[in-house]
Amino acid sequence: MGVAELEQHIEDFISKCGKSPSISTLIAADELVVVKYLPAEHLGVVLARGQLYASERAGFTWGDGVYVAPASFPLTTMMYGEVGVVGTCSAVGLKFFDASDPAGIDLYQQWITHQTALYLELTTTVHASVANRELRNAFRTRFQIDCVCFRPDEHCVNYVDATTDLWLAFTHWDAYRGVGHGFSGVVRALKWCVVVPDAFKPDGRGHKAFLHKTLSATHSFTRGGYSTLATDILQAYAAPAKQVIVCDFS
Amino acid sequence: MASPAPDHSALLESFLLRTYMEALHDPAGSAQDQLQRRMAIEHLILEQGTGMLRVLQRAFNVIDDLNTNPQVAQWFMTFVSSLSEDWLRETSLGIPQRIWRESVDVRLRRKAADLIAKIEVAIDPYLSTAYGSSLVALFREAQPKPFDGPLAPDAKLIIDVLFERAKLMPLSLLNSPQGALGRYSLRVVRYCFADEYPKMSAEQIDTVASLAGDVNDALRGRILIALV
Repeated sequence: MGVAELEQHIEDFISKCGKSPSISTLIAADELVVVKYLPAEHLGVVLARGQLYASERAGFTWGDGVYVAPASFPLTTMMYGEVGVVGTCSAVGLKFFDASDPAGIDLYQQWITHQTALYLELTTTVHASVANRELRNAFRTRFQIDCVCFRPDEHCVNYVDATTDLWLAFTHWDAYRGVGHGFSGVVRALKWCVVVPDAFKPDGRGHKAFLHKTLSATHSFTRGGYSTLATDILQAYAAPAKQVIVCDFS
Repeated sequence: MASPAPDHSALLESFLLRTYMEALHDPAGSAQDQLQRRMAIEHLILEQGTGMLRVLQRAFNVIDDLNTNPQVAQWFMTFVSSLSEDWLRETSLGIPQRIWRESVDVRLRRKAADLIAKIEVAIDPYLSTAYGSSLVALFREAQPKPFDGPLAPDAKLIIDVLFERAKLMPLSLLNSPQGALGRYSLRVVRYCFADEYPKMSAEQIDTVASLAGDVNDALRGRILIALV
C-alpha cells in the first residue's frame, strides 16, 4: 500500500476512534476526569503551576505527552508516585487514537515503515528507544492526535489489569501544532486528591507492590491522624486483630 | 589603553547558570532528580516571564565547547522549542545557529535547524522574509552551488528538516494560520536553491521536489507551488 492510501486509512480509523466502545464510554461527559500519580517531590511545583509536565525523553509508550489514567481506573497507575493529582480535560472535539484496537496498531506499524530514516534507525541501530520516541511523536503530529488511548504495558499485580484498564497520553501542542513537552495546560483544574498507601518497586517489566494484597489481606485498617497518633498506635497494638493505622496529617 | 574591567557579576551569573544547566542531565542523579531540577528552573522562568529567557541565554556566554556538555544545548532547545511565539521571539537566533555550527551530534543539529525556523516564523509571522532565513545562509555555506552534484551532508540535513516539517503537517493545517511553520519551511527550501530571480527551471523544481521523498499528490502539488 502506498503512503497516500495508508494515510487515508489512518484518517478513517481515527475518525471512528471517538465512537469505539472503550473511548466513547470515557468521553460520555464533556469533561474527562483523570488522575496522575507522581513522586511527592514534584507535587509542590505542579500545584504551584497548576500544570502537569509533558514528558520529554525516550521511554514513554506513545512519545512525549501528559500520561494520565481515567479516574474510573484509580489504581492502574498508582505505582508511578506517592501522590495522586486529579484534573479535567475537555473531551469535546478531541482527536483520539485508539491504540487498544489491534487495527490501529497495525496501521501505525505500517506507517512507520514509510519513515525511512527513523525506521532504519529503529531497526538497525542501538538508538531504537530514541527513534521510537521520534516516530510516535511524528505519527501524532502527522495525524494531529490529541490523545492516545492504550492498554497498560507495565504490570503490577492487584493494581493493573492489562485487559480492561486504559491509560491515556495527551498531547501538549507546541506553537505550530507539533508534539511538545514541558509544563502543559492540557489537564486543567488540578487538585491533589490522593496519598498512596502502598509502596512499590520496579520489578522486571513492571512494578511490585509490597503491601496490597500480600500483607493487606491479613490486616484490618483504621484511620488515625498525626495529632492522635500516639494513642492510635497504642490502640492498634492492643487490639486483638492485626490492626494498622492509616493516618492523615491532622 | 587598558581593557575594560570584566563584569564579575555577569560572569559569575553565567557560570552558575551553566553549572545548573549541566546538572539537569547529571548521570549521578536519578531520572526523577533530573526531572525535578528541570521542573524547578522551568517553573521559575515561566513564572517570571520572557525577560528571564534573556538572562538564561547568558549561560552560553561561558560555554567554550558545546560538545563537552551537549546537555546544556539539549535542554535549552527542548525547553524553548515547546513555548509560545512570545517566548520564541525572545530566543536568540545566535544560540541554535551556534549549535548548528559547533555540535557534532546530528540529532542536536536537526533540532537546532528546526528551532531556527520556529524562531524566524515567530519573528515574521507573515513569512515575508524567507529569502533572508539564516537556514538559507547555512545551506549555501555547505552547498555554494545548489545544483552542482549531490547535496553536501549539511545541506541535505537542512533540507530534510525543512521538508519533514511540511510532511508531518496535514494539508488542511498547512493551509491554516497554524501551518505557518510548514509553509515557511517550504519557502526556505525554495530560497536555499535559488534566489528570487532567476526562477528555477521546471527540471530544477522537480529535482528539489524529489528531495521530499515519498509524499502524496496533494502535498507534492503544495511543494511545487512553493518552489515556483
